[in-house]
Amino acid sequence: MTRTRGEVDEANSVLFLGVTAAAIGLLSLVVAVQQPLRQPNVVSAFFVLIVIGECVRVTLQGDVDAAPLGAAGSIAFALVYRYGHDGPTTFGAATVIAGTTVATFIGLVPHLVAGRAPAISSVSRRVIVTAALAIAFRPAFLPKAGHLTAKELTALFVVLVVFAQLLDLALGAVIDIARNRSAIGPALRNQIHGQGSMAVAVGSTGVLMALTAARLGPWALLIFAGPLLLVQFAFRRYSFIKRTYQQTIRSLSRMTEVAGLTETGHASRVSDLAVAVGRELRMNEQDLEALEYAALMHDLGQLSLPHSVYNGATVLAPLAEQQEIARLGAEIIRQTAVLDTVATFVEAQANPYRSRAGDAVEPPLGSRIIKAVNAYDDVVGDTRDSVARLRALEQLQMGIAYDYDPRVVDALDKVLSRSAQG
Amino acid sequence: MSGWPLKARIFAYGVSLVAAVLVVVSVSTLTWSQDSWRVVLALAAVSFVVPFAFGAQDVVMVAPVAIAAAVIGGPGPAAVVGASSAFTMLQRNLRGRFRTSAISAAFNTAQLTLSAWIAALAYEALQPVHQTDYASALSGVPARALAAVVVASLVYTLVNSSLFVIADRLTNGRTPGTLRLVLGAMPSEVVYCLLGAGMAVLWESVGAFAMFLAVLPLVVAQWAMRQYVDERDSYQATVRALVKTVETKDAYTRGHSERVAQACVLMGESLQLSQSRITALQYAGILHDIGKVGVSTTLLQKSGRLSEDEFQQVWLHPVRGHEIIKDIEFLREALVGILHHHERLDGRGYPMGLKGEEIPYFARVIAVADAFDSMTSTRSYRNARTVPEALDEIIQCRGSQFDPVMVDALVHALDRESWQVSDPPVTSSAISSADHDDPVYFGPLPGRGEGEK
Repeated sequence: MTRTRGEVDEANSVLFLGVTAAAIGLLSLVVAVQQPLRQPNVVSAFFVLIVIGECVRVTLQGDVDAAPLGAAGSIAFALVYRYGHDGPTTFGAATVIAGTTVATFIGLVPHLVAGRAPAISSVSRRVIVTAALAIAFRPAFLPKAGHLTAKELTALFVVLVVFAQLLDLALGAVIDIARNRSAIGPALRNQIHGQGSMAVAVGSTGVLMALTAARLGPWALLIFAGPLLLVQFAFRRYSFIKRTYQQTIRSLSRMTEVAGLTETGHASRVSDLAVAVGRELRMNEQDLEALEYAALMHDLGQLSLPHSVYNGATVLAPLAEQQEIARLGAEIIRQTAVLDTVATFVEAQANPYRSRAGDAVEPPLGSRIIKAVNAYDDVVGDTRDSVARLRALEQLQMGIAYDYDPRVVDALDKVLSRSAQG
Repeated sequence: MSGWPLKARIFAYGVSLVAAVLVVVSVSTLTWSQDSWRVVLALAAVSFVVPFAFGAQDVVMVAPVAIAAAVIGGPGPAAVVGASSAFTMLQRNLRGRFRTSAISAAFNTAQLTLSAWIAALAYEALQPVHQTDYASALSGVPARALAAVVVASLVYTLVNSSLFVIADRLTNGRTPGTLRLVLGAMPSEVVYCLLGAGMAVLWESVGAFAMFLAVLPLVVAQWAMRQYVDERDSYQATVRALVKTVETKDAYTRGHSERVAQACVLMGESLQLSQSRITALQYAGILHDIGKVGVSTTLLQKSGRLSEDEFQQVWLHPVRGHEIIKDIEFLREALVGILHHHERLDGRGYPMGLKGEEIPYFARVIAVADAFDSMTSTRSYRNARTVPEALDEIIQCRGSQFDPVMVDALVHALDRESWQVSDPPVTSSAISSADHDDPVYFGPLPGRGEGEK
């Protein structure tokens, strides 16, 4: 299988994170084994928590890999300053980092046995963030922790953990940038939007565990593990319904194909290509999702027509008929009462980029993308022939004056030539 | 619960009155010296501010906050904190997102007040040292300290759901079963009460403001759950709307999928299937005729008998339906149900002529629901039969066409629930359509079934 450049870049950035994390983990392990292990029962409690958290890891929608319990456990491990009857903790940053690394790897084993791919990026991010937190807190603040009031300590923890979680999101954004060649701003916003709430839950649980462990020892870990498991459960269900939604739209978009109105695979191809173009044009994630659905369902209106159109190739139909199909499709989608953006994209998909009268409103970007990509696929179909591709692009270029948005055609050109190289 | 009958009103106001008296008495016992006012104000603030900040419909904080109040302050403060949920309800109404009538608001507040108070009494009975601190209790005799909170929270759930069930029975006559409610809420309830204990410890060792930190994970959990529910509803609406587009091809079958789905759900309940299987069955019902999209409109609207070739097209619709939705993982079981929903027990159905137990379970359910709705709907060539007539006819086919178990499930379901038959179609064009679901019109396949399989 050939891989696109985005996938290669993504693999490289994950590899970079993995190597960094492995180096940090190994280094701390070397440092840690040179001294006797202090407070083994404290260390082992956090160790077990991280292993368990890693074992119950789930895979969430949008490649979000989630082991919130393990993440919160490692934050608490880095910050714990006192542990019930054991009194003030004395182990250093190296023990925390080495412990987290080893525990995480042990927790990975069941997943590997079950044949799941290891979540390298997520695990590496964990090790790097824990290392940063432990190095920021333990050498400088641990000796003073006994003199701080509970309120000062809480404030300190909150500040440190906010920075740690931001670092985590930034590392996630790095992978996002490599994969989708997005700019730094949108990539970060994306991370915060998609994973911010999980980061808040993980960060606050870590702080709460570290704070209450001072009085409660192991009970602190038990008490605050519960809400985080609820978070994980809720996210998993959400992720499940999201995936089902996507599969369903993709499946039902084939209704026009089964009805013999459109070519096999047309909707799916238009959708994949439209999303790639939308990404190239830096649409945000919500709009991309709407674009994906709209592109999948763009021919749905044909089901309401009394007869089929030019074997489904709408590009060959007269404009009025194309617009009628778009309108009928949008009408169906509006009935859902929830996919409004999708309906808007579908509705304006046939409208030309520039109106002859010059007074009409410009169709939304999603519609312009669908128009161009649909026209392209109607001409090319599923052939991978480069001549056909060039001819289709040429046709689109000729339509720039009126039908197609030049920026969209440009982006389509870029996406196509990239996949041709890959 | 809209439209409370008199008995329910008397009950609701009675409970509210008891709670009101309790609150007044409790407030009078609060003192500044023992910190009890501070406890009440801080925890009431958490239970009000957090839902206010994150959307009152999405986030409810009463349970852990009430347990925390019980642990830190005892029954009086717990009752007052429970009563403070009235502010959340008020704010909810003012924002207009989730309106409740005065009587529901009063009753719900009373429910939470009494639950918190009785839970606190239970905690006090098991842990008489509540006025000292929970952290020392926990490190002293952990089993006892933990048992006290867990029991308190079970009591909280029990009181809360019993009051709800009584009010529901007085209003609707039917009861979802206290036990099932309590058992269903158990896992999250245990989490809530442990969190309440955690809040008590934070109160003692850090201070009031740490309460807000403590509820953050729970806020995220509830927010994510809300996202899930919204997305699920949106999913359902989308599937329904898309199925309707297929149905609009034929005026006579409008709403058919929806009603088949409803009959499937009723039968699933009679068959005592799990909730997840009932959901799958519902989607199977909604989607069972999706393959009709592959049958041409002219054929669907053709008058008179169909030719052999045209029959072939109709027979293929379950296969086409299967083809369309085969990639939807969660419909795995629904999928075979759709593929085989026109099989007959005697092996003379289509598309494969399966017999008896060979026919998948869901397919046997859908077959009965499908035929029942078809017969109780108006067709161009006949009027709708009444429900008893249709049932008689289905019972006659019991064992030959339909699985007796499924027929009984339908009969049982219709004993229990009333059935809303379809409206006759409003159409001016005189289209005559052969309904492939109607056993009378569309009988067994000729020459099929005996020799095969």
